[in-house]
Amino acid sequence: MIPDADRAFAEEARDWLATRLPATLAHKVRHDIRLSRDDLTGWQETLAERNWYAIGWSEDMGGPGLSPLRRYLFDRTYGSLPAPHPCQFGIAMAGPVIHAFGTPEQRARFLPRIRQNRDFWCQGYSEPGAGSDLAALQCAARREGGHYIVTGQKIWTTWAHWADWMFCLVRTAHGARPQEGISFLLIDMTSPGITVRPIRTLDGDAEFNEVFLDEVRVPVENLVGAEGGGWGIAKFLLQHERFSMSGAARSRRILGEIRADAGDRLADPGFLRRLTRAEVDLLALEEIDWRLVQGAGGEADAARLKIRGTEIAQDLSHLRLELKGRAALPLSEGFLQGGTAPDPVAAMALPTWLNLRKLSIWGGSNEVQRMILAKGMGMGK
Amino acid sequence: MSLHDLEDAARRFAATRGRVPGEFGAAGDYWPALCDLGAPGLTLPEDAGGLGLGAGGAMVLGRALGAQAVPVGFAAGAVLVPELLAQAGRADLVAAVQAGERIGLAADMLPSAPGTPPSGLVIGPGGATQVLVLDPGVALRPLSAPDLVLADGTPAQQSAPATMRLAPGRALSMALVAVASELLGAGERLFALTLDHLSLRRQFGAPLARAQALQFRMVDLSIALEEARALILSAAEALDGAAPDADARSHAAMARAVNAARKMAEEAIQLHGAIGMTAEATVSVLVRAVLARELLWGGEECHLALFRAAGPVSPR
Repeated sequence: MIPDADRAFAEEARDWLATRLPATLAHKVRHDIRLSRDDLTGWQETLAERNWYAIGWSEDMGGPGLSPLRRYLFDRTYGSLPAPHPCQFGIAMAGPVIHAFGTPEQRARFLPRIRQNRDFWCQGYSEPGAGSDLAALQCAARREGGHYIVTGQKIWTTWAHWADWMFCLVRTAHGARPQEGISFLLIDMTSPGITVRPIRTLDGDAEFNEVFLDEVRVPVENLVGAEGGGWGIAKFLLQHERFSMSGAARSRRILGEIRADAGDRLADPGFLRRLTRAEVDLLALEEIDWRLVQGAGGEADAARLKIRGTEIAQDLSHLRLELKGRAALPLSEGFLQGGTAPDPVAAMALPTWLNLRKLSIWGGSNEVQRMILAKGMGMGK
Repeated sequence: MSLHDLEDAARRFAATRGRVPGEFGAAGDYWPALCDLGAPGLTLPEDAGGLGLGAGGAMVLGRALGAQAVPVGFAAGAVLVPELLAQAGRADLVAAVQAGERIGLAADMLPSAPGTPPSGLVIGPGGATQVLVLDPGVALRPLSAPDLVLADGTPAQQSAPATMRLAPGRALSMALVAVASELLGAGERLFALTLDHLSLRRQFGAPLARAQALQFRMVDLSIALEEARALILSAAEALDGAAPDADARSHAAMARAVNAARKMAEEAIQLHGAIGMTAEATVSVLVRAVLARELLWGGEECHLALFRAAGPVSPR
């Protein structure tokens, strides 16, 4: 089934990653302790040594040019380790967009820096009035000579407080349909007029931000694609990166950890049944993932993987909570920042459950994914 | 005090629960105010030092407190502890609690699924200096344990795990009615907030409430909450009428209330979109309160098993 050479590739990758993953970082990831910017970028630097930060990039783009099978195997291998999920905004979003739609100058300027972990990117999409209905965005960009002047507000911008650059959907015109008149701009986060305000979430973390843009001057050279072509680029992105959609590999690791931690609880038939059900759900997800390795996937596949992948991850977070019961109750702010706790798994179970509610909301909410699937089946015409 | 008076007083008290400034999750001390309200021992008969309001009273007060997510350990400290003390004939201690003395209870004495690890948590009033133990008789042990905060802001302490479990009976069932009512109150408040949000929030040119898929989800949630309410009422009536199936009915009420409230919590966040995840949002405060009760008092599966073990439910 899997050729020896590909299997060997995955094994070598696993050995190298496991050797290079610092124990302190593995501990943090294993226990969902918050990572610092340095934690994340330091690890990405390690990956970049083997050109594995841009793991999905073609040789054309300067990446490792892995076959779909090797890409799949790498993903599965990587997920089995308690390694940080690398920041995807440059690698999986800005980079592929610049490669597909950008000018030669833009490619030369931005792609190597993304691939080599030089620039930290964030995604300026959602606005207070434009969540699921992203086309309703109002952040305005008016053309003045060699610049766009951008004014508006983005929200739920992950890691904007850490970012060097933001790719941003802005409104350059008002057309007959809201999708017309949207443009894709690359914005330097050090530009005057940008204010970033962290948003505290119910798990105590602050990974999301509000980004206020007040007459920010963005050179015209930072427009990607045609003015008014932004919506098409956004659609390209939705179906482009199907490999990170399912999260199956991470869920496989989590399931293994739950089973290992379960101990006496496995004698509880209710718990065992729910654990077993999760195992079969995950197997189905992995099999759908595997089918896609064989052939090209489309929008529908990405939507299905996103829906089921996020639901399974959320189910697992509840299983872990059930396992720990009352021991999960004391709020241990100190532990979440990197301290010690008598039962580290228990200390993080509830904050993780709360944090992972985001999975079904972000990335195109699961409702939006269902809309895509329904439309694809011809319903609602 | 009539149930109606209690309801009014409870609503007023709960509405005064403002945001407590300071560290995330840190609670204010609501115990003295809860005592002023007459809450501790409210379920006990008047001749045992209570207000004689029984399970009906626990439901009314629990529901009002739950709707505001007041982090005050009501079910453990104001219902269960006085009930256990009264059961043991310790009217003096009941009076002490009503006067403001803080007596905690080992959470590990409460029902939980088999194989659940002991937590060592002591719940009830924050800052308790004594913990109630069943030795088998009721006794008080001094408690000098550091204060903790639970994830929903309720105060607690850490002590040695208790090995003894509470026997089924009036005291536990009374407390379960109180918790189920807190869950119901929280669930109903989450429902109202979500319904409001769906009516106001516009996407794709219309309020979200126009989407039939969302309407049906909300309807199903409302039915689940109504089922919980009906079962809690039936448990309260059974307890106050000393019916033989009161324990079974209280577990049925818990099983339904926990399930309905948690589904409502998940849906409230989802239907609010990202805004429901912000720490300041009332939604998120209520969600943490719901989860904390599920973990503390046992989830659906736990109470379904206890329902089965509690014997048959008598038809009306």
